[in-house]
Amino acid sequence: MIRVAAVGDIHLGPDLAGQHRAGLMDLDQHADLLLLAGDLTRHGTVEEGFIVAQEYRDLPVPVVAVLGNHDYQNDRQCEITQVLEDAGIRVLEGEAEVLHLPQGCVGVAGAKGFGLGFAGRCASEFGEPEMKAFTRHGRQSSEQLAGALQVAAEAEVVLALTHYAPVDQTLVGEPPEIWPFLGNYLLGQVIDEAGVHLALHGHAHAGTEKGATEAGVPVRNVAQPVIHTAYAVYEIGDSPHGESADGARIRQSPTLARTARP
Amino acid sequence: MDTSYQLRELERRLAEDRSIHELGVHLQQRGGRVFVSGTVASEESRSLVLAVVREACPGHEVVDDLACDQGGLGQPPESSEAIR
Repeated sequence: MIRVAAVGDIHLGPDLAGQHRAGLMDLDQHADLLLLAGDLTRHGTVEEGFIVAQEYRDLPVPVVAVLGNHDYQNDRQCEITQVLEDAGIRVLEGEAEVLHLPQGCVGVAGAKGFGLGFAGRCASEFGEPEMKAFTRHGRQSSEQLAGALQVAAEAEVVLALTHYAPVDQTLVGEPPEIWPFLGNYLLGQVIDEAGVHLALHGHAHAGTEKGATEAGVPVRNVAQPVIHTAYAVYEIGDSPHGESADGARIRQSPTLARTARP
Repeated sequence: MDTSYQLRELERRLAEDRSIHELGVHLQQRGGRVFVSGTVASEESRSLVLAVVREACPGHEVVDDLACDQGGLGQPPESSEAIR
């Protein structure tokens, strides 16, 4: 069984320095890895990037992150990424990290993602250049995630990590008018096509924690204002031979999703 | 410009101002009061948002209905979820 801790939208600034770390010191008692679902900073400054790095460095479990839109606000996302990587925090953007943990092999496919909207009511690549650019970036973000998922697929447990939502179920609570800026159904589509055990995202502070893709892959919105704790923990009960140490925790729907894998 | 447009402009300022960047703050006028709702990242940010709204809405009582995300940041979860 793999225990996945995840949180997003922590929006750290100088006034919150050290507050999250206080809840992380016994992390390995609760989880085998920690995923950060973007919006780690408030204004996207390098100074805030250092605060995030101090918060998550030298933890007893691996830490894997994606950035969010706030982390891009000052156009310093590359420097923030480097600051975090220097602190041992893996930052993914269209990439995968395969972790060989004592509990099993976990593949994390990560991309920030982008808006676009959801099937039947989403942006199209039509009209003004600005509209085409918005739509194209949404499509490209899903292609990035698809590429990362191909690499992550070698692992026993495959996780998709984004900032933007891959489904609209986890946006319930947010005004529907802004859903096209909160998520992108193409992210959900590539998650279904790849076969994923669990998809995690943030961004929707007023949304809902639990949802699922069309193919039944569990999706969790781990925005901190949604989960109300330092992180949420999800147990994926899956032994290398398809048997769980705890039979009650064998996943069901992800099995169906994974059969779609080539 | 009527008050509603002024409040929408103020919401946009709270989102875009370099020193604030709070995207989840909503303003509503009811009678002579301006209600400030939504979620902010910290108590310091709450104070900053309320100060900006008070300055922009002289003569109105500003009601703090904001929630703050800061609360659970240092608290590990009490339970986990088995993914099925």
